[in-house]
Amino acid sequence: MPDELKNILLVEDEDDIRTVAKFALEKRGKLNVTFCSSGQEALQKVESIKPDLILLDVMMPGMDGVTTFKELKKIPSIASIPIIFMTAKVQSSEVAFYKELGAIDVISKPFNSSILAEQIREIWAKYNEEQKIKG
Amino acid sequence: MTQDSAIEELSSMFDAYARNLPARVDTMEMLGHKLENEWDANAFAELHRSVHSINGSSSIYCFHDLHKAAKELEEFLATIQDAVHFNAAKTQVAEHIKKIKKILQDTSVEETLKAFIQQNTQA
Repeated sequence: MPDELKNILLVEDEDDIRTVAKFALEKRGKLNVTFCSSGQEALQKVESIKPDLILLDVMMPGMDGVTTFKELKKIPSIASIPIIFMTAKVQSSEVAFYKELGAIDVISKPFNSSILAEQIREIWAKYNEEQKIKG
Repeated sequence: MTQDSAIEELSSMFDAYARNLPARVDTMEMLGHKLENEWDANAFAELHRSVHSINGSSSIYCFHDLHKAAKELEEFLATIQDAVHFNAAKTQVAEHIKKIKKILQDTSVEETLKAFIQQNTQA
């Protein structure tokens, strides 16, 4: 796992949300972001992208976030890439469910574009530390 | 990126979104009318997608009342996904869509833009 977060794959079905996320992560956050508009598209592209981290919307038509998560984790070369869920539902029971599933964290929507990249970097740094301790 | 240029870009994104909202709600209304006359699974799927889209995006752009109403309708549609259930509930669907249209008409775009800028600029 690289020490510095550079490349993100964002899976989000809503074009209008991707616009704000692009501004938040690329322009403000100086991150390289590849955008996918569906779980299916993410599954097709993820191996060629090899992102450092995946941001995954929960509520998507067709293949939802949880199904996409499970499918991503079945791909051996992708299984260890950390995934953060993005959702409007932020009840603690749901956060616990996503973490038990294997997500490293959950970010709530609507997000604040001025701090989104920073928020993701903090989650990433914390996860990196935990992985180092685990060896 | 300076605060001024960030505000300029945010305003531009907001304008593009807000400009398209009435047409999107009109499409929702048109699909609702179509389904009232005759059940059509494709039209229902399109209506569901259209409501999901507004539900998901409107909170990001701070149209909070619109978001709440779209969320209610999306959850309701999830319970009536076939002809029998839809036909039994079509008056309620029409009322939901009417409510969404009224909320959009009554929403101050200027105030919503202010909230959007504030949401995306405060540290």
